[in-house]
Amino acid sequence: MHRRVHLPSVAVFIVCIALTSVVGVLTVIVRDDAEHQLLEDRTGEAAAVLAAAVSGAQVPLAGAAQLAEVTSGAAAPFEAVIGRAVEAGTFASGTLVDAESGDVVTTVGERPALLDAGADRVSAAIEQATGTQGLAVIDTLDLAGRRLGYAWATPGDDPSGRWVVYVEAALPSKYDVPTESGPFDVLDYGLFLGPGQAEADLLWSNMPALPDNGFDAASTVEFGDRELVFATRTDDALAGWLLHWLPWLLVAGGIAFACLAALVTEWLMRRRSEAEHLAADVERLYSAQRNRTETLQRSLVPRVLDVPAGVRLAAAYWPADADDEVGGDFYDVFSLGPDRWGVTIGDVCGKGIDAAALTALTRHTIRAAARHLESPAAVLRWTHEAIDADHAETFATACFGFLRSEPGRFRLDVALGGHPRPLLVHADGTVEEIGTPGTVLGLVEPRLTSASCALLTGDTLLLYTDGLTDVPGDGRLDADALHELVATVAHEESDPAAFADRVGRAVRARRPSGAADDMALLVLHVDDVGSLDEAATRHLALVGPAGDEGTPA
Amino acid sequence: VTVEVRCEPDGEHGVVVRVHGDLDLDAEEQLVREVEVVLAGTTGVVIDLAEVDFIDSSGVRALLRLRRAHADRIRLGEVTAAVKRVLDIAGVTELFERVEPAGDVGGSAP
Repeated sequence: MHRRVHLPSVAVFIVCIALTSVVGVLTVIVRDDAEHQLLEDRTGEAAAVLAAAVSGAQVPLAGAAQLAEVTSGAAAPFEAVIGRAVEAGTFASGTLVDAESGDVVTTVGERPALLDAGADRVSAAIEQATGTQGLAVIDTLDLAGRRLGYAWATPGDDPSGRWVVYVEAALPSKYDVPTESGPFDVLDYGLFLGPGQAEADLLWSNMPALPDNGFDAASTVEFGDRELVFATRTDDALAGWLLHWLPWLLVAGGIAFACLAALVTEWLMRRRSEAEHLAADVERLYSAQRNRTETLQRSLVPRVLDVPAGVRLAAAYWPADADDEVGGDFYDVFSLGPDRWGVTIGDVCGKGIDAAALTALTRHTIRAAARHLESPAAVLRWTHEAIDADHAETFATACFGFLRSEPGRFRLDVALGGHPRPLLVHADGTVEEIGTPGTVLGLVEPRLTSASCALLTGDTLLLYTDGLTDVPGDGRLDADALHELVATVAHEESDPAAFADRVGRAVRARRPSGAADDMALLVLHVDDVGSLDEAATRHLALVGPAGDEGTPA
Repeated sequence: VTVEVRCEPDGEHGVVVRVHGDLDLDAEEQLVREVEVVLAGTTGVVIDLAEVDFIDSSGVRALLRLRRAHADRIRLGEVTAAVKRVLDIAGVTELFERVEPAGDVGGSAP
């Protein structure tokens, strides 16, 4: 999975290659067009040069024809004029012919090839010459000797008294004619006796053979009664080597760019996918941590609490917002016999696993001590010693009480170890803070005092942790405000669960930025204490405070 | 950092360390460290909490740790009502000798 190439990388590569191909093809078209145009231009220029040379070759012929007309076909002057051109190598032979009879008057130089080709060819040539005003080109390419014939007839309306000057010029070898160095030496060319470009019409070429695919450009030059076709092609880069190789340079660059773009895309995709995996891992770990935290927290605040008959009990716990660590709040209610219960709430200073461990230690020490001791202050002293022995450099606050069922009332003996005093809301709406303040447990020698009070029908006892009241800023709840809130809610709600929920929600509503600390509530509501008259039991209740039983002897 | 700590010399009890801000979990280690640095060069420290509006159990723990390690060399100066309430509930107010501002009644709390 990790080795697989991502789709976007492939797409980027394909798009880049496609663009490169299009650009490459367009460049080839533009280049070929430019090359072809340049070849046409060169060919035209070369043909113009050729035309000038051709017109120069006509001069001796025209002169000899005029002379023949003036001298009525005299041999000697003809021989003198043409003889010079033959000696100079311009012509291989020169012949003066009587146009009417077809008789040869005289021949200078070699014997013309045409004379050996038969009377028909000769008479055809004479007919062509007399039918042409000026230079007639006689096709002798099929005859032996690589000659080309030129004829010039004296003017006149009928053959009688007319003369034809006929010369044959030697042609160079058909192929591999050396090219003079100059502006046209980059061209491969073939010179044809027009109008076609057939091999039979080829005068000469600088190539070893005619190209298989023909020539790329051609220019036609008038040549007497015929025409010359100058056909060219080239392997050279007429527009320069840069333009010639430009398509390949672009394609190579495009492929390199495509590879680079695909690699960069792939790298980015991998980075993103790694980041996504990392985020998923973090979320999974975070979620696992949260689950562990919740599990641990549940173990610290039990769901099932023992309830004395006649008392309804509710507990509520709100963890701090935006905080995934275990808080230090705990509470517990447990049975110690048929008519005796332990009630506790507390808070270990700190957060996290260490605090959770100490919270468990504190809660279980309180449970164990409660089974062996009679005074709540003594229970808290045991607890202090257990925490101190743990060398945790921290402390816990706790409220612990023994709840006893007595005729006509419940009696609560309670001690406080640095913990906020519980609130007792009487049925008439008055709120009383109970217990004697004491010292936090575990760090310094504590002063712990037990106190007693009575709980009667309709009374609500609220034990809470400082997260309820003590927060930084405006969310703080002072004692008066808390008493008022508790009295109001108690008046409307006799169900302890609803009471706890409403108090908790009212407090949290005051903190728009969220709860900074954990918050735990334990609510006991006395439904029924039996039949004794209330005034009597209230009197009985005034037995405390019970003195400082927690101080060591 | 949620607290600022300023030091002023005080002839009688050593250096006055004035704390400004919320004394919570984030501030606990800083306060302990800074007070111990100051203590290294003087006879005692008066921790003044007149500018502290909020103290939680971690702040109380900072004071108790200093008290445990340095005993009577740590004294408390002025405290706000909010701090005093928390210290009272924690039952630790009487552990610290109190130094009131100059001109006021000095000496220790009961």
